[in-house]
Amino acid sequence: MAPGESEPLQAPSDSTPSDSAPATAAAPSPTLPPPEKRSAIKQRSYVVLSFWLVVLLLGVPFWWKTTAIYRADLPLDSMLKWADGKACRPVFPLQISIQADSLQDQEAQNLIRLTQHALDDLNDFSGHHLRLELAPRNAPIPRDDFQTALTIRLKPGTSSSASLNQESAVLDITYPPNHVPSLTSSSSPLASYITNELRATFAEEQSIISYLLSTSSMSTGVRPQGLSPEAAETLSKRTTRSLRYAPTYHLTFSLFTDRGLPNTWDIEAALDEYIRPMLEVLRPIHNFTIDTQVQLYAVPGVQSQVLNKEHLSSFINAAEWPLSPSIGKAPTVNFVIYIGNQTIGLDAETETSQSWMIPQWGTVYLLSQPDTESHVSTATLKQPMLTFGGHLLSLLGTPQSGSLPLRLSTLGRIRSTDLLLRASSTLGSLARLSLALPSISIPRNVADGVSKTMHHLELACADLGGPEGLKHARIAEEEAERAFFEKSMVGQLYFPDEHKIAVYLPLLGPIFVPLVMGLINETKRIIKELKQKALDAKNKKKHIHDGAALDCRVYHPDSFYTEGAAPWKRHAVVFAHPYAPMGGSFDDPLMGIAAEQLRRKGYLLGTFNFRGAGRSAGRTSWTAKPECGDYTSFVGFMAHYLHRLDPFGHRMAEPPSEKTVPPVLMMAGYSYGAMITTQLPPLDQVLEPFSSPDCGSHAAQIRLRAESWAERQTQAVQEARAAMARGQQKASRKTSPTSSSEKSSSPPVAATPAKGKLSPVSGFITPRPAYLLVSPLQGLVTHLATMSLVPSVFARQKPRQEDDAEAKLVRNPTLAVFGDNDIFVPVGKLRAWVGRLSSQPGSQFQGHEIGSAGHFWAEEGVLDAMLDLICDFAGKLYDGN
Amino acid sequence: MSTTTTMTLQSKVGVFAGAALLRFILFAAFPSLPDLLTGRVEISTPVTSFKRLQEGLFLYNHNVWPYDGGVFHQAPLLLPLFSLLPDVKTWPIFTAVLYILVDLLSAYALLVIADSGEAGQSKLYTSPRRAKRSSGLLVAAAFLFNPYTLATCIGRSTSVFTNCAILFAIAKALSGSPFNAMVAISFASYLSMYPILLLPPLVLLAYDRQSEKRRIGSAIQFSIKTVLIASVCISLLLTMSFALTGNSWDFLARTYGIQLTLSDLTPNVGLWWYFFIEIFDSFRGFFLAVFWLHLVIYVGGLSIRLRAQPLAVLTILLGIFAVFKPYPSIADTSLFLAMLALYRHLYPIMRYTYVASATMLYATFLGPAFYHLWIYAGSGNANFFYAITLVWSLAQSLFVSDLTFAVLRDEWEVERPEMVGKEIRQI
Repeated sequence: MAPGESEPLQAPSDSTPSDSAPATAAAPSPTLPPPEKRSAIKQRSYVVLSFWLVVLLLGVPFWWKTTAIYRADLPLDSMLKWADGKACRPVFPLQISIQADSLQDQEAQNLIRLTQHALDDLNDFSGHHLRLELAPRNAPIPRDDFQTALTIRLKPGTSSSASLNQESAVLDITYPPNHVPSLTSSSSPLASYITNELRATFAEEQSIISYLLSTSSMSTGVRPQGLSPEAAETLSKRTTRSLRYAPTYHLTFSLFTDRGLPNTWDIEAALDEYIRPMLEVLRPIHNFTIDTQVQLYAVPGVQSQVLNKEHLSSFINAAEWPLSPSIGKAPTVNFVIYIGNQTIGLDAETETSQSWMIPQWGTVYLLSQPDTESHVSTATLKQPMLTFGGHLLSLLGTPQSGSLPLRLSTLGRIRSTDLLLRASSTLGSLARLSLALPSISIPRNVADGVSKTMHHLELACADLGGPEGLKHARIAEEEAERAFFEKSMVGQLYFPDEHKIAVYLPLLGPIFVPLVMGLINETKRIIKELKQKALDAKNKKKHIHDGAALDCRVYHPDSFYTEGAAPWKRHAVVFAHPYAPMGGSFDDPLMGIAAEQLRRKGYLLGTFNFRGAGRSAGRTSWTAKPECGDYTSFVGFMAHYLHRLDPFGHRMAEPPSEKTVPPVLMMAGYSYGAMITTQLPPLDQVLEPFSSPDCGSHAAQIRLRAESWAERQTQAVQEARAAMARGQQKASRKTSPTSSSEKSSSPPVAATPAKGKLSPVSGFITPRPAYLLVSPLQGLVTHLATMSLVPSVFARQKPRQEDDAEAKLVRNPTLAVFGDNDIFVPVGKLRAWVGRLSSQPGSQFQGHEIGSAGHFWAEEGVLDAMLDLICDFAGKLYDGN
Repeated sequence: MSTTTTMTLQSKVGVFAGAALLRFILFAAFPSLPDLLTGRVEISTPVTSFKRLQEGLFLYNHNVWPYDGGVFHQAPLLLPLFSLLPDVKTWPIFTAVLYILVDLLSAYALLVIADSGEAGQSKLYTSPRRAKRSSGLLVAAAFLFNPYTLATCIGRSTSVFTNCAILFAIAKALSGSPFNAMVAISFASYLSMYPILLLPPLVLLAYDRQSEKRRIGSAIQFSIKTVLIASVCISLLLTMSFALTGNSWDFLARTYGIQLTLSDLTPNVGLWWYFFIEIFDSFRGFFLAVFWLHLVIYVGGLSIRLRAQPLAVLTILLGIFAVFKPYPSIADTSLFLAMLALYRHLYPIMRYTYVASATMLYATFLGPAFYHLWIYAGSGNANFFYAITLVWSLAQSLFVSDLTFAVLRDEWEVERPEMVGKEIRQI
């Protein structure tokens, strides 16, 4: 067996040839660190990934969850509708029943019809609608309820007169008998009298309600015509004076004195007598709680004897008098009795000389009493209490005219309207607020409150005049207020977007700078790697490769060491092995047999492992392009090795002349190797990048290495021959003390670079190419091995390359040997291929089919047949020309 | 040969006995010292305070739900343990003995860890400097006589139990019994929650140091098994607590919930309390998440980068936790310093040991002074104390980053032997 030499075609594995390769090609510079290890880079990627995974998988959801502004869906349209008064038309149908026991049924019916007509004709406010009906005979006087607003009792009398009953909502009307309309008449004095009376009775209520509606935005279409500006002004004064509606009020009765006396008062008795009955009547609308106090030595804010209008506002000594603003949630109404001899200077504004009302606050009553009296009796308290009662009613917004029951039922209706309007306008404000501030949060309970409000508003609107209407309006208003003043919503108002940057930046900046930098660096590296890969793919044509170290062997022909063997004519063969994933490597036995055959014929033999095979680096690729590159690298190596190798010392003696016939460089392959051989570009293209490569490029390294190894081997062979000549032992055939560490530590320093490029080798003779294909692959299996079934973007370019590759087989001596029983390739395909190539004009391609032979040449006798063909082919080339 | 064994045995007994004696003397000679130290914010945090434990214990012994009153935030299983002891007011010595024993156990675990030599030579990595490693006895002594450890012990902070469990988990993982390691780390996590983050490096450590007999080759299989053990163990402990606190899960919110939401803003030596007093309410939730994630984020990265040295990962993580966890105290620092002592062979390549130790001493002396100025004298405000806790954290983070640097440099010098002893620059 020939001496085996093993030589890794080493090149640094770094992907940046520009900065790292010179360090190894030339003397390593001490300032540059060695490139990072692959594993270190991978580890760093994982570290960056682990940080970013936490940020993305945990951080981002947390950020989203904790800072997202929750905005519940609000029914904005219907809210605005309510605010604009489009959702509800306030209508107050008032039932007025007429008791006319003295009249006959038909007469009474007729009277009612006439009166109703008259009323309808006069009515200028459609919302406020009076409807008359006849009460059943001998019905009891109805209790105060909202069902019937007023009952009219008709009694025959001498003249027309009307009086309101103070106890209940009853209007007593007497009429002269002749005023009763006859069944046929279309008008009657009694009817018009009743009409006028009713209008007068409800005039105030009507004006108040129409005023309320007109001041609210709900006024569309209900603006009353009859409201004079003066009347409107009085009404507005009254509404501002009265307290906001609340379901409960605290009444505080206080006795103040600037001396030590009086120190007792009969307040309990006075309250029971004068105030409680009234509160009882008000109960359907409000609840009241009462407390009382006595304060001695309380000095008023104004000391003068006669108080005029200016003094009144500062009379209350708010700083010292313990008048608590409110107890709990309910508003407080204060009633103060001040014992002293001050009086009020009478003018048009004040009502009495003793008391005045403070809007939305309460009443002060000045009570004069002898200095020595230490007790205030019930009798003394009567007048103040009556005043307080009256003032309480006006503070609550009760109309001023009419009987008390009527006033109270009116109050209920006014309050319902008021609450309805308030709730609607609050809804409108909320809707506008949420539209105006898109970053305000709207908690779920606000949405709940809004829907509750709307529900109750609808109920209230359906029964506006009745007690249910008041109840629902009250709930609606409460809910609307609660929704509008929701604490968490208001808090967000004061947190604009600028603040967020101020919060995020200084705190998250320090964390995010390294994170982002790490990510950017990693991304840069990956992009660079991808670019490098793309570049490698582009450099394909130039056969410059990514520096994966390849394992290769060179077998010298016997003639180097033995006399009598076939002389070496500088011919060489490169043999490529089958598919690595299926066990192919340069130790493949069948390839070994064929290659050995060629070596015996006097060829120098070179074999190598494709990437991913044996000890070569890298992985087998999908596209076979890198393998093709491996092949060209090795061919380049071999060409330069051959050129420099001079085992017989001929070089010095006779330098190569023009006349010398160039030696043969046979490129052979078996199976997958044959396929790669088919795909090789023409030889001049293969060798072109090695003729003058950039310093530090892989091609340059390959060339330098080939040359240095050729020098060394030349020396070794010459020594061996000399030793042999001296008759010493032949063991030195197994020279080549090649260990990889030695190789890597002795980088070639030859060929001084000129302008960063290696100069072309002088006298370099391009060998004559020849091709040998054993069991070549054609058809489907080629596509499988190269993945070229996938439609490629480079499809346009491909045919030219393939043509080049095929043309070289035609132009140069080529032998293809295959069996007709190949399991990978249908023999038809091969025949067609051979036919196509050999039929071309001037073709040097010859294909031989061997009967019954399979892909692995294991059949009886076929191997010998194949070897014979090869020997024949090689022999012709060896001798030829 | 036998003489050296007896010598070391003698010196071991000497160190342990000396440490125990010193603690006894401190407990006995200064009866007011334990209560004084218990009240210090540097030693007792809301989740480790002995005083709060007493409150919970009182409620527990009177059949009231111990978390009523919002003072007690510690793991429920501590209650039956302490109710076994005689009343601490009349018989303080029993509590003292318990705490001293726990300290000695921790020191023993440290001794095991140090003697295993893992710090210098792990399965995947051998430090060229390992010859200079510190002896186990020295490490144990450094822990036992560390003033921070002493103060924690005398202050009867319950973090000593957590520390002991963590050290035992590491020791067991090193001695090739992953099961015991997982049980120990489950106890630690149950007591203080944050040690659960030590699980990944601990699993790696246990994987590397498996005994040959019961070896599981696949790393994934091994980690699934160990994580399963830990989760079963933790669930068991939680179920016991569930039964103990009247069949309700409310204790979760009152123990771990407090740590997660930092609802108790009592000052401590950490960085959280002041920040969360000042932060706008609407961002509180977000920054709680950020601070917690900041703790979590190091675990994966360090475990990957220092895959060859899981013990170093554990040490560095303990240092990070001592700085950045919600309720740190000097107990956590004492644990980190104890682990730091294992890396004596790296001291020569650490660069800021002097600055860091000086800063630490500075903060140690000024911390109580500033706290006094703020709380008692009224001549300073909260910023005084917060500033000094910043300095304290700075000192610790110096140690942490310096150790990380040293560990990495040590690894790097194996790769690049020509750079040994040369000045390098960190980019």
